[in-house]
Amino acid sequence: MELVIDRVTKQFGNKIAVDNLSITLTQGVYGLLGANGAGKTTLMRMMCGIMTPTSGMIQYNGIDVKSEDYRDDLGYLPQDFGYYPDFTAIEFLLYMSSLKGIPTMRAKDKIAELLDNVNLKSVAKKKIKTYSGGMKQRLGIAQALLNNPKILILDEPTGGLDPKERVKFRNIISELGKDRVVLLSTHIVSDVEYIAGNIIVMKEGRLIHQGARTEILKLIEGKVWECVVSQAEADKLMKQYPIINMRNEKNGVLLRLISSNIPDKKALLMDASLEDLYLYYFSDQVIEKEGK
Amino acid sequence: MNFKEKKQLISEIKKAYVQPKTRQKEAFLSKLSYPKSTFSQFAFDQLAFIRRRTWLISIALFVTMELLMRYNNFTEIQSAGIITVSAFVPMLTLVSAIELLRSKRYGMGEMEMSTRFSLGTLMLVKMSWLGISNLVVLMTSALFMMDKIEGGFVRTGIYLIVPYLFTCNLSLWLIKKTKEKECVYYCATASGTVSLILLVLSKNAVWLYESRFTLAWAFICILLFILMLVESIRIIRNMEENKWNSLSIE
Repeated sequence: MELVIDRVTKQFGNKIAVDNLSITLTQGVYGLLGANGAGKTTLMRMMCGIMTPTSGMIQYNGIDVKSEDYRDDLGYLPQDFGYYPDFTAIEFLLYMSSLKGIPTMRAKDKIAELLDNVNLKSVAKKKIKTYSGGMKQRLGIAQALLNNPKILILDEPTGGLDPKERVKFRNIISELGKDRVVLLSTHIVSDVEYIAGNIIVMKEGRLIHQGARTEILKLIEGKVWECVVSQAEADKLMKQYPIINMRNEKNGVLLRLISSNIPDKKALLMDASLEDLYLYYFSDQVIEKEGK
Repeated sequence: MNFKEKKQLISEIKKAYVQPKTRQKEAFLSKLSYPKSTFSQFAFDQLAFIRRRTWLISIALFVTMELLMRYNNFTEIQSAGIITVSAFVPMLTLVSAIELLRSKRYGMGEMEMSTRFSLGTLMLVKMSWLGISNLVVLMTSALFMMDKIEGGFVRTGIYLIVPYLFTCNLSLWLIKKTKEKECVYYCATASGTVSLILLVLSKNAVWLYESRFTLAWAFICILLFILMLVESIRIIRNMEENKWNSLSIE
């Protein structure tokens, strides 16, 4: 099972959304991280075969992603998607099953199972227009799983889910990742941290990091510090170092920052998290400092 | 062992052993491969997903056209009747366009493009079903009205089909050219305009419907039909391009 992305570029007029990106995905859960406009959604659309790359190719086990065979093995949840509001959850899933070529009898069993998994069984016969954002999102996840896909691509799947639902979603995805390729993009870094064994980081259309979570974290290991300082000292440190987090405490300001050396005599070395890495690369403040 | 003995044995076994609960049934079932639906199964499945209101409005339009022709006194100028009735035909196109544009209107396109029978196939199937049903409505109307027009079924049919095909072409062009949700309103405006033109014609240009122009009408009918086919194929082929042209980049 191998999804190969080979020197893929997507250009819209003068803007390059994805720039000469190459990567090979095998079995497992991959987390795709990047700020808005990094090219994540464009990359995912091309991986689903619904957008044609300007150059380069994407193949799954040697088959082009535009083929019907590939779409048979694909489950996709787009970032912004709608529903026919007059459909009930069952009608919607039957409709998607029909598009996925699943015979009705088989679809009915699968729909019952999935509605149970995403906690929508009790409202299965209600119209989608009466659903909350989280319920719609769960229905979207259910439709992506209808055909038991070998490639599952989820664009911002956890948006709108409450903490309990997110935990359940993480468990479902971890289970699914055992025997298929799962790629998910989200701004909720903790979701990626919990379920994705592999991390892909994109910036301005380019792949800047790819690897196991532990490997990627090595980039900032020994560089994440926390210290409680006065407001004046905090202002000074903020000018000198990339700040990951700032919080007002009783006895001063708690700063979490990135530095190769100890930034303050009271600073404590912390374990690096994926969120630190994400904020290091994508916080506007950090980008401004890098520019300077 | 006779049947009675067998039954008794089964009952004794059931009493002696507790049947184990099924384990990982779903996981086992999900691993079994199953034949995918064929194109014809998919096409028939899609009939159920065309809204009931679409069929009902088509029937209502048919009944209105029929009643209008039957109970209005168009005897003085025969053709005025068929022109007035044909002013309702663009509404039939509008109902179909609204059904076709649902995917665009409700933002389902991206999901529909990623499935086995992708958005292009779906549009082809929907267009075919709606086209067939509209043709049935128009031909049945022509059948009911043919005794009122010199030239019978063919001429009546042509007078009904030409405005239909004209509005279809206009709507298809608008679907291709305009962005996302507002397309429905453009199609509604186009259909309304064609209806209005036909109503004006029924008062001021009845001569266009004289028998000496029948060949010209037939020619226009064939031309519009070919144009509609070409435009439909173009839309289905360029489905991806049309979809992304109207979206922002991320």
